[in-house]
Amino acid sequence: MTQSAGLLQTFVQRWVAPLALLCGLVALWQAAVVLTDAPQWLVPAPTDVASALIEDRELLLENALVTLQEVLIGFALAVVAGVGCGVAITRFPLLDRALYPLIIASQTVPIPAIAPLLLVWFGYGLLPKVLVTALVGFFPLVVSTVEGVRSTDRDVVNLLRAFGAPPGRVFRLAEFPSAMPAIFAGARIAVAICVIGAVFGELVGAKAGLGYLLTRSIAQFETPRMVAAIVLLAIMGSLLFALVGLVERLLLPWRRHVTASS
Amino acid sequence: MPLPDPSSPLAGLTPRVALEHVTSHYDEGGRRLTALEDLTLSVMPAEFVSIVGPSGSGKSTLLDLVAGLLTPDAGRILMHGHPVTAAERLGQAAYMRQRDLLVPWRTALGNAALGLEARGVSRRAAEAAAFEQLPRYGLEGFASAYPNQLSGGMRQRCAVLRTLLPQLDLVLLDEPLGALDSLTRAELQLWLAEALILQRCTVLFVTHDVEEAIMLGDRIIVLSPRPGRVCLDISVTLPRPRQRDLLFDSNFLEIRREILGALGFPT
Repeated sequence: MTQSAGLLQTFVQRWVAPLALLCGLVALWQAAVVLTDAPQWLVPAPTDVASALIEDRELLLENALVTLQEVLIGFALAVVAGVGCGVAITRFPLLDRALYPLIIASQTVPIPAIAPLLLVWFGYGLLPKVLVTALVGFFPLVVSTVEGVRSTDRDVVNLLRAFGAPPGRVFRLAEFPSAMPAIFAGARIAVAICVIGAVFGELVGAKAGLGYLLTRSIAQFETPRMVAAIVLLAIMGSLLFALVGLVERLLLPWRRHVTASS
Repeated sequence: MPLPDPSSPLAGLTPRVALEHVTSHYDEGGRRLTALEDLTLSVMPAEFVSIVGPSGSGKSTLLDLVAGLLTPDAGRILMHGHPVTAAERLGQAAYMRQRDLLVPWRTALGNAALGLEARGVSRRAAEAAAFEQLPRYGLEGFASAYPNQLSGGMRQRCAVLRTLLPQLDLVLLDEPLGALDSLTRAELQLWLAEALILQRCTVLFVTHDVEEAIMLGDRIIVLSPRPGRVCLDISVTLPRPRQRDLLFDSNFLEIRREILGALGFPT
């Protein structure tokens, strides 16, 4: 079997089942709406959503780009701050004792409670949405960085120490590369919930974005357009999730060999 | 720390490593156990010392102490005749354990270079140095293979290259061939001994295989069951380079008998 045929087969095996299930669910939804004769403003049929996607494409795209921008900037901030804090916590015992418990405790504060505060402080522009997004993505990145560094093989660390490597070099040669798969696992979770964070920031108060479009569409009983915005958000989240996976494959080529043999 | 002048006639008389009345404890399940008790041992430069003993006799603790990963609870450790702290011992010895400890994110070449890089050599220079040595270690053509694409013997040879590439004069080996099947092991034993003798390394070689200990060592130390003490210290005067047929030599068998006796086996 040629390699391309093998790849095609893997692709089919991976995607046929979920796509078939999705089609089945959409068909079921369509049938339910037709059979119950529900009004469009209450439960729009998939066909209504599809026509909203086509008719309102410019409006949807314009607002989707605003949300995407918030997600990308917020996620980038979360990666820098999350990995940075995680690394600092593993390097400095004082930060581990002082800061790490606070970061974990901060997760009990509901982001919905903070979003209006950010609105008051920073207004209706891009900044409060980016901050909510970054706050949401920060936590999984800190935790995965800390746990990833801590799960480094102690024997490898001791080996490098015995050879004379100071702590910083041990970190660069062993602990950080060893933590990379965990950091990417955290990044995949973070990017997905960053989309939620951005929408939340928009729901509280915004002038553009898919979250803003959602609230406006509900108010105008434009339910098909609202569902169309939700569909776009789901697609955005999935694509970003896949993109992080792709970056992982490019940056950590060795992971393919590990999974191939295990 | 002043290093002795190698041209001095006395240089050869100062032990490379000496342990004086060393005791080391460790905690296991809340109990304090003694790994080594009042252990005194000195190793001369370029001497190949095999250490055998039952499991739990503190063989690995002994190497961790010499490497600087542990501090003795009593007694002291000298290098070139000077007492040194654990921090000062770090970086003096090349260490290799039974697990090859190849890291999955580096290729065979990258792993081979890791010992040099740990000592501050740039990745580029370390890999260039490792690349030159690949053929000698039977790894030619495998530079870009990841560890799990290598056979057990190749992984172990790669780990040996990582250990020897920094050319440290002190080498600590903790059952380096223990994870291999007996054929691969027999093949690597003599090859490893030759590589170490050629570099004129001072070697502490821990093994639980008595034949391997005699085959490779200039001297054999037998440790008692926990707490570990030296219960036999015997020189091996068999000529080098050694061959497998030594296994049937009468001198070899006599030494083997003596070691097994010290280990408490009926002979």
